[in-house]
Amino acid sequence: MAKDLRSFIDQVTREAPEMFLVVKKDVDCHYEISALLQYLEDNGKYPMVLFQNVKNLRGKIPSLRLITNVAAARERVAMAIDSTINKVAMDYVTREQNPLEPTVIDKKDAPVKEVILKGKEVNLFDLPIVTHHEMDVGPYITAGDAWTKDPETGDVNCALIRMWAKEPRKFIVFFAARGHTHYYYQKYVERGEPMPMAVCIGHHPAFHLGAQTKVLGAELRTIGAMLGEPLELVPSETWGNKFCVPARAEIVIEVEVSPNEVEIEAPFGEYAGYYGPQRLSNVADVKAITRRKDAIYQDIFAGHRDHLIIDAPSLEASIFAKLKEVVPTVKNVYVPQSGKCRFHAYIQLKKTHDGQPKSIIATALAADFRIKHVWVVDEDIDIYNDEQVLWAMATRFQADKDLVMIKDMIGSLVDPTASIDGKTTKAGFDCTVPAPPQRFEKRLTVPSETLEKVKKAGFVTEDQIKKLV
Amino acid sequence: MKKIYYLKCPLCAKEYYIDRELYSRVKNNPAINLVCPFCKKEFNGKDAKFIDT
Repeated sequence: MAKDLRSFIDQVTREAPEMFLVVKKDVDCHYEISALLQYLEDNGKYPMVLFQNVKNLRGKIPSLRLITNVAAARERVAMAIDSTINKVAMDYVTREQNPLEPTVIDKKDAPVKEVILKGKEVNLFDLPIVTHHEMDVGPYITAGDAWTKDPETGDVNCALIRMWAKEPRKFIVFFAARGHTHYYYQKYVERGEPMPMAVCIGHHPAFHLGAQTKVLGAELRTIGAMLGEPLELVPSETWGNKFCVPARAEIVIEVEVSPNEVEIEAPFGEYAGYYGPQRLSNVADVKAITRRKDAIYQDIFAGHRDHLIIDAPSLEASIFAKLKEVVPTVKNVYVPQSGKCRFHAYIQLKKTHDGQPKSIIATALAADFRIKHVWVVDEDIDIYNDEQVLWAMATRFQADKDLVMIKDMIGSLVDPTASIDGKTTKAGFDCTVPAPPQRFEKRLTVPSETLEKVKKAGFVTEDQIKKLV
Repeated sequence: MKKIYYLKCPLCAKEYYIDRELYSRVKNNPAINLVCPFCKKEFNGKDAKFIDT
């Protein structure tokens, strides 16, 4: 069976039903969806949630079903490429090195063409587009993978960008000046032409993983690599085979971004956990919507784990590849949720030389503009456990010797503490013990034979362990 | 120079913020309409009550 959102839902319900919640009660997409997700989060729960009866923007129930929180657990993101939470970045690297060319299929075989709406038939308000947070200016599409094409090379870029559904056939869209979408957009501006953009909603999470590759122009092949099969495409309604779209998406919205019109947009809750300010952003006119007959509308819970984790494997893979060139004994890289999967990196090292941590820090801080703080730890530290990393900092770090600080590097504009032009001070913390043959204190351990004996002796069952606090 | 400029909506009195570029445009051309994210209504830039922070 070709992979898509539905095959992933099947996989999760089969292999990990405790990660899936179905809500049958009527729900309003104006705050109620995010309120339930916040309530679950406050209880430390991050299931994928399928809402079966959602009021759309015209107040009609039921509209389409809505799914959200798909990527809110690293376990699920790893499951998408048959991996585990501590191997997903390495497996991303391996798959990225084996790209698969996409394939174009017939319109009659493309599920995303079951319903085709053009011109005045199009109405964004028929969709259950969510208003997430209290100070958001309105309902935003957050899981729309925006495909744009370089007018010179034909390369396709994919990016998750925010889109305010302002009117039935109008979005106001924001794409950051540093991103590839903006790079292509500038080319259309120079030509005085609107930029075609296909907004792809609802697909297998491996699709989104591939779309997050940092290699410009490689998105469609990398999506195939992550899916483990060529990505199926179908010609769009507006541009035909000059611009093909994913055949197995749930919904595709075809828009044209004006080369010169801007309107008020935002505030909107961004990945740093704060609202981005109201600003002027680009106007996009909707030309067509195509979808499956019983399409599932996907939303991403903006600013929360669902928004953050999907980008983590590609970021970790990118940093890992750069670090390996400099220090081959780097073992693993993790961008933790506590750092919004962007700002912090934990790097695990098999240390053989005292100069390695600072070389790693210098490389990692420059590897991605969003990385702001880096911790380098030894192999015995579990980098997926914040408590262990901070323990290493508490007991293996001295600020006068082990701190690296670099002012005025390129940083993230959504960091409230970055300067107006996006400069930021970055820091790295060497939390490693001295390299061999130097010695250090030994950490506490219980003899492993006794540990194994106690586990098997039945003092406490696994069920009891799950229920204990 | 500030990155964000707080203002009070003249219609519902709730506070939110705009970026520096929009603030400059509003100061140069108060006829620009802003949108309050709370009451969802448009209001003229000249009616915006900016808060000194």
